[in-house]
Amino acid sequence: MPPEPILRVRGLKTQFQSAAGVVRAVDGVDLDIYPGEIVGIVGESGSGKSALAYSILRLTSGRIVAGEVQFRGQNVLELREAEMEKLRGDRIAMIFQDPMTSLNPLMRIGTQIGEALRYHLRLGRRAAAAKAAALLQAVHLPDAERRVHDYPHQLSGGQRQRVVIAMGMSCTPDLLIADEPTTALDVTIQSQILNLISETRQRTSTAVLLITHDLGVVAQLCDRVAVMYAGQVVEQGRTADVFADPQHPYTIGLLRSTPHGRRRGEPLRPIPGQPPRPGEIAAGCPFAPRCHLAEARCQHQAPDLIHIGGGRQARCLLRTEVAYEPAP
Amino acid sequence: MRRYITQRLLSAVIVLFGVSILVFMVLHLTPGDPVEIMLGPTARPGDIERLRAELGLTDPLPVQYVRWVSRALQGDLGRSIQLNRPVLPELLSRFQATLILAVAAAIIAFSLGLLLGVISAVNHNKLVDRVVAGFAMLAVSMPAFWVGMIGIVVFAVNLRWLPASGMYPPQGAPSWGKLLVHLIMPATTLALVPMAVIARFTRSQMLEVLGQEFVLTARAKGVPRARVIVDHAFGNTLVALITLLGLEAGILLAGAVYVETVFAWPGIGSLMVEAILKRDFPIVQGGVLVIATSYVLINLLTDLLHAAADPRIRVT
Repeated sequence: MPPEPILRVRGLKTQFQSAAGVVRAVDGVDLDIYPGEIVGIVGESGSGKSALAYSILRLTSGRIVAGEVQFRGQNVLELREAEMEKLRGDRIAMIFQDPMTSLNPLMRIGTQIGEALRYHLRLGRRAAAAKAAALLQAVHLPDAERRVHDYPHQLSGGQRQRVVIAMGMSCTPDLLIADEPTTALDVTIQSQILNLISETRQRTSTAVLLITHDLGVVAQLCDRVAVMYAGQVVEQGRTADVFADPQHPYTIGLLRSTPHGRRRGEPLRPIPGQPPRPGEIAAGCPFAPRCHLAEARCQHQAPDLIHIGGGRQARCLLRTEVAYEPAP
Repeated sequence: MRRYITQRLLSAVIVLFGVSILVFMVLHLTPGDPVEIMLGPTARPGDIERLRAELGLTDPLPVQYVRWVSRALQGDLGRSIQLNRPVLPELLSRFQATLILAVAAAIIAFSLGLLLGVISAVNHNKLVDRVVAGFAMLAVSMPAFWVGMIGIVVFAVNLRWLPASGMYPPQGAPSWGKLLVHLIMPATTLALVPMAVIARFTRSQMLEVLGQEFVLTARAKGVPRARVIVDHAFGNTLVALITLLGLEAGILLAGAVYVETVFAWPGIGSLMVEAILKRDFPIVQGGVLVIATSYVLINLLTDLLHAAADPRIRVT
């Protein structure tokens, strides 16, 4: 693995002000992404995985209160908005969950793909249109030359998501953040889109941060995975390692509750209880109330993310016995 | 697209047919005999009968209707009982004045309403937003005729900046400049309520659009915030507002009646008010027909604009 990550997130905290008080959506996240790899972030709804993604591009409607987001050695949280705009869509691109709503219904798809090209590469209208057609060809949209003149409603959901990916890849970014890119699609289309993302990564060596709640997607696509719970990363490591030998009770619970992670013949077992409601996280381990291994100390002592060897980390008091590996 | 237009045109014709029947019927169902009013209280019964027969008022209603419609289609809306002149030229010259007033008011209401709405939405919950909201509330709650009279007292009587009434000064040749000066107060008065309504709707519609994922997508592409608002958000807001703008355009025509009365604007509204009081029913019939036709045309135009602006309608 190359030594320098292109994205290094440290101690990131994003909060939302709600009627009930402060919601700590992202609560001290550390995350590294190396060039060309696909990193998955899994977690239940409300675990803070989308808030993390939005915070990296500074598109969150919440407030980033602490931490650093180093992109190629530069803290993007310190950039001025105009500099941020130059970064977005050019070096870091982001695509969203629902292809039905993430395209402007009044604009031809060619124009929408061309927008980033015009702003970042300073292409003229005609050059941008030609490039847009080539990009659509690259995402295997049939009849791309003609399709650039179509409006979004003339395309199916899967076709639109191809357009969205072409749009995200238009300036060949170093990092593509994909927020649940297959959730809104039919199962058959899902795997096509996943294959497309994987193929695109191989062609362009763009790193991908893939947000999903689907462990099957992670298993199929991701080199590494970070599991989020209540705004924190509770476990991260190479996908194969995490799936073979999960270290955090929450990860174990997640794997047991889905067909992908369970051992053959084992029944599906849901995790009891509900994730803590935003804003009501108390002292101690946030997962303790649902944890089958929880001890008395888990109720009042918050665990740190500790390195447990092999580039793996887990946030659990019961793992402190594992050989300590100092942070790089 | 062609099928859509034909459909719209056809339904416009049907609506106009319905309007013509209603217009014709309503006047025959209202109390008060125009012939008696024309001839005055001293008229002899024989004269009343004779004039009634002369005007064709003794024929059965369907016969009267067919005669009225076929003449109307040829541009003959009859003669005014009071003025003893053909109705159509009279109506058209008055309607022109109304149109000038309504168009001026529409320009003010649409441009300022949209602008204030967008500014409000972009500065959601900030001071500007609250000020605009307060102003809109005030504008909506003040009746136009009252605003008009206050305006006359302040700007015409006390400050002497603007003329109090009419379209042109009583003496001298009419000119664009004079027209403009006379337009300011009535047009602003007429525009006030629609402007406030448009500002409120634009604000809420724009806020909804700004919350949609394609706006976020545009931001994620690196499109500067101001361009996102102009290129992505405003277009989608406008498409959603076309129907409202069409309705408001109709309301401007209707509202012109009060404003014309207050400012003695020689429009179709003030003509109709006089005609109703004097039971000059060819004028009333013709006037309602002209106004209703312009409503139908505005509606038709709204639908066509909607189709032109929104590709999702164009295809179906």
